Amino acid sequence: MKPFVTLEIDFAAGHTLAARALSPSMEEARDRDAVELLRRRDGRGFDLAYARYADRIFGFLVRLSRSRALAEDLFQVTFLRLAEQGPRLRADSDLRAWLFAVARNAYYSHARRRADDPHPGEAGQSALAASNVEARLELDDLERALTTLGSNDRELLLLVGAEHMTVIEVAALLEIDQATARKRLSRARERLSRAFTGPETTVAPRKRTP
Amino acid sequence: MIEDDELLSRLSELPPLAPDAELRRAVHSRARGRFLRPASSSRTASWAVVAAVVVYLGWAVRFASELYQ
Repeated sequence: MKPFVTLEIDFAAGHTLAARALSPSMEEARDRDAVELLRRRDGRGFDLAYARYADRIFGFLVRLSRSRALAEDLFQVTFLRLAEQGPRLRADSDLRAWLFAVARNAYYSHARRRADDPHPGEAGQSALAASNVEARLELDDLERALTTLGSNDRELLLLVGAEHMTVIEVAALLEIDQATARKRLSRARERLSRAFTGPETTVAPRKRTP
Repeated sequence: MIEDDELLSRLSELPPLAPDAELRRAVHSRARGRFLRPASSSRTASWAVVAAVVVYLGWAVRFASELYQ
């Protein structure tokens, strides 16, 4: 059978496809190709999934855990899980949702074991500083505001804001109903707004989120 | 959805956080290897246990039968 996709991966240079520049329908098509290849234990499927999601999963984990060192461990756990479970994915699996669910579950499993999710606003920034993320990446005010929130708020805001997931997708990923997801998102957004601009000048949404 | 919300849309402008090239390569290599060659240790271990039980039972039957000769 002909290959589904043409890969343009330069791992030696650490570059990946500019996946985010693709249109949503092209992204979905690529994910479907990857799932199909993964189900047939075709290495190209793994390469494609890795090229598309390695950076995004890593960034999500750094911001969720507020620790680069921990994110590195969880990043490895996530892709080893893909290696094990990839051939057992369903044909209609949503690869992006699956990977982010594995990543967040790995984080919460770790947090439960270590009970090391510090109170928001206390250890968050020091954790980032200790892992040298701030020095290397020069986090802006929004990044710092994000670190002051609890992990439940952070994951929701990152999935919707940074990953452009819809409330429906996030609700499915977090295994909660849509109304709850919408309420949690609204509260998380409000807390982020307060942390970002202060209680006096919250950034109001232009339009009510659907 | 987030296009309607200034604050949420700013989140998508956060600087990307990528793993080091070395980590990226190491994880890719290890996970890809496991993907292509699934661990068969559990199957091997199962056969080893079965073989050990069969050998032990064979020895036990032979030992018991020799007692009555």
